[in-house]
Amino acid sequence: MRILLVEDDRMIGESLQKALAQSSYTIDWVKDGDMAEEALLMQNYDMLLLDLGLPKKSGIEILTTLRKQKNMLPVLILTARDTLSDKVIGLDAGADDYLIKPFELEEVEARIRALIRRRDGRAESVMVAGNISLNPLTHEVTVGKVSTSLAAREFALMQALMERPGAVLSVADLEDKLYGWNEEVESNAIEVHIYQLRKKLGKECIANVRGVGYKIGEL
Amino acid sequence: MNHSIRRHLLTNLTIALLVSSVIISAVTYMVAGEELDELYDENMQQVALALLSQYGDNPREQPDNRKNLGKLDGQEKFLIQVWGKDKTLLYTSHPTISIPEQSAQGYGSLQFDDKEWRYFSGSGNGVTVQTFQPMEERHEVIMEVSSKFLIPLLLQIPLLCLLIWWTVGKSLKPLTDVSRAIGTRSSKALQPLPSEDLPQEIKPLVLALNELLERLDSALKAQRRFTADAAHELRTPLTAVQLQLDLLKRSKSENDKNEALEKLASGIKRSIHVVRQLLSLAHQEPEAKEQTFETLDLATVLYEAAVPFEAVAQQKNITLHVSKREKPANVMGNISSLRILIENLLDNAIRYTPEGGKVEASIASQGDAVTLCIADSGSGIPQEERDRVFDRFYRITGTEQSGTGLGLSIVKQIAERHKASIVLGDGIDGKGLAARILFPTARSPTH
Repeated sequence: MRILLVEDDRMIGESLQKALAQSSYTIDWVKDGDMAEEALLMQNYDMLLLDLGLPKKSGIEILTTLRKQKNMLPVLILTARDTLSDKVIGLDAGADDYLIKPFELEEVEARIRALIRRRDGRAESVMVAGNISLNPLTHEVTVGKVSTSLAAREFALMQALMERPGAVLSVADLEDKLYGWNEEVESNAIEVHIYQLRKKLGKECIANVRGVGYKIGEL
Repeated sequence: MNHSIRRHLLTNLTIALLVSSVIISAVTYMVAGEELDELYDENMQQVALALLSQYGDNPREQPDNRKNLGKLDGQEKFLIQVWGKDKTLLYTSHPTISIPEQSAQGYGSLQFDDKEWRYFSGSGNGVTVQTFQPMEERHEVIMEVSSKFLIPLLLQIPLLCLLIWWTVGKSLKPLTDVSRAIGTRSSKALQPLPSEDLPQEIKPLVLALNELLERLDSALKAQRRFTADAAHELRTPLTAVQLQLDLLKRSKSENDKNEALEKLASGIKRSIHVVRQLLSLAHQEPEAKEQTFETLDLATVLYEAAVPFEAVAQQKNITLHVSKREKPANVMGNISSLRILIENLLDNAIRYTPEGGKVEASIASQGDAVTLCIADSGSGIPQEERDRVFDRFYRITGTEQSGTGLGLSIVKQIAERHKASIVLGDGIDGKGLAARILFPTARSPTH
């Protein structure tokens, strides 16, 4: 799950990036409005965490441009502006949710999960594909009746595959979801993670579509 | 004490009316008295002269006096005596009143029988005719005339009182309207009161009130803006602290824990810095309490304030040079405010100067100004932003430094309180920033 974080405060940006990475999100962090727009053009994101008071271009401007382009990317505003009119302006500009600073990490994460759930049209936070279910809160995967706990990258990979069961993702697609800008990717990293997952969950849980990529197994 | 303009006016005007009525009566009494005196005197004279001429024509004929009693019964009545050559009383109109013959001729006054009498004495044809009138009679007439004047004067008082009561009430109505308009307002409604069509006595009051309301409104707005800004500024470092704490809780390895702790500590330090800056800004508000000003040597203040910055500069490998004081540069100032000013400028200079750079602080005394100059070789402030950097919470875009955006606002407020002006220019070797604060020189204390 790749998220763009737009935040001009260094301390907040660093902490959020680190904490969310630990929770198996892939975070790209930019500090001003111009860079945010560039990043949005270059990369497909699953979500945008947006501060409003930004240098160069305000969060509201970024949001308005995004929605004008009919981009449905879930947007969570993280801001210190707390008046009702600020919230109304933010939500009317196209934000999906609004979180006022200071906030706790758990709440940001819960809201990210909620927005993803809504985007995917799921009623429950647990993702299901056939006999396989994945709990984003506990990072546990259940195949049949057996539950297994996953490491951060394994979870991220599993989540990517289960977003739209049946869809085939290439290695490049998966790398995009799992690795941010500054992370070095070993050439066979995805294959290694898939190997690990198959070892934990059984070979059939991830199907290989020859020459295209991988999809979640039909169990 | 419950003062009422209406009651006050009424009381005073009634007293004034009473006093003036009495004065008018008294004056009338005196003027009328004089006139009546003259009139009666003339009467006495005419009666006396008429009698004298009568005696000349027919000295034996005597007026009839049988009906006369022992006193004079009317104002116009006189006591008439006719005396012969050898002081024999030839005739008296009232035999019981035995006033002796008066030696003086013409008008005169005398005491007889405990009463004051006015008389006229005239001689001719060998007789002296004297006419007398008791003053008491005259006074009675004068009193009567005067009191007839006093009654209508006193009667007008209640009428005038009613008129005053009504007029004052009507004249004060705009005032009661204004007070009602203020009384029914909420404390948030600070818009001006209507000031058209007001009497000129009340207009200045309403205008002054409007001016006060306007000042209050802008002070309140500034306060509200500041509170909102302060809340906003506090939220950012607190968010960082909260996140760092969450990270600390989640950290599994000792290494992670130490790193998180270190970041948490710096986050807390930053929050404290923001709070401190906000407090010193509040202290430097023009409305804040009075500060004591004294004659200070600015060079000494600079030297002392710069000491703690040497370690900070060293840490960043920045050369901090504070020029030595040569002669005292006296300014009138508040020592703690000046120290805050210098600290903020030095903090900014070191913060925005990259490693290996230079910061120079100096004092120059020229004519009637003392200039404090703090220059650096840092990133400087673009020309077009040099005015805006004094705004609260304004931060130059793209700066990596986690400043509060308050430092220069604080500097500006302190400078204003010291009647000093601020000039921002280019720093060392045309790079960076030089902040010059120009203080008026204090007259050195007499030796």
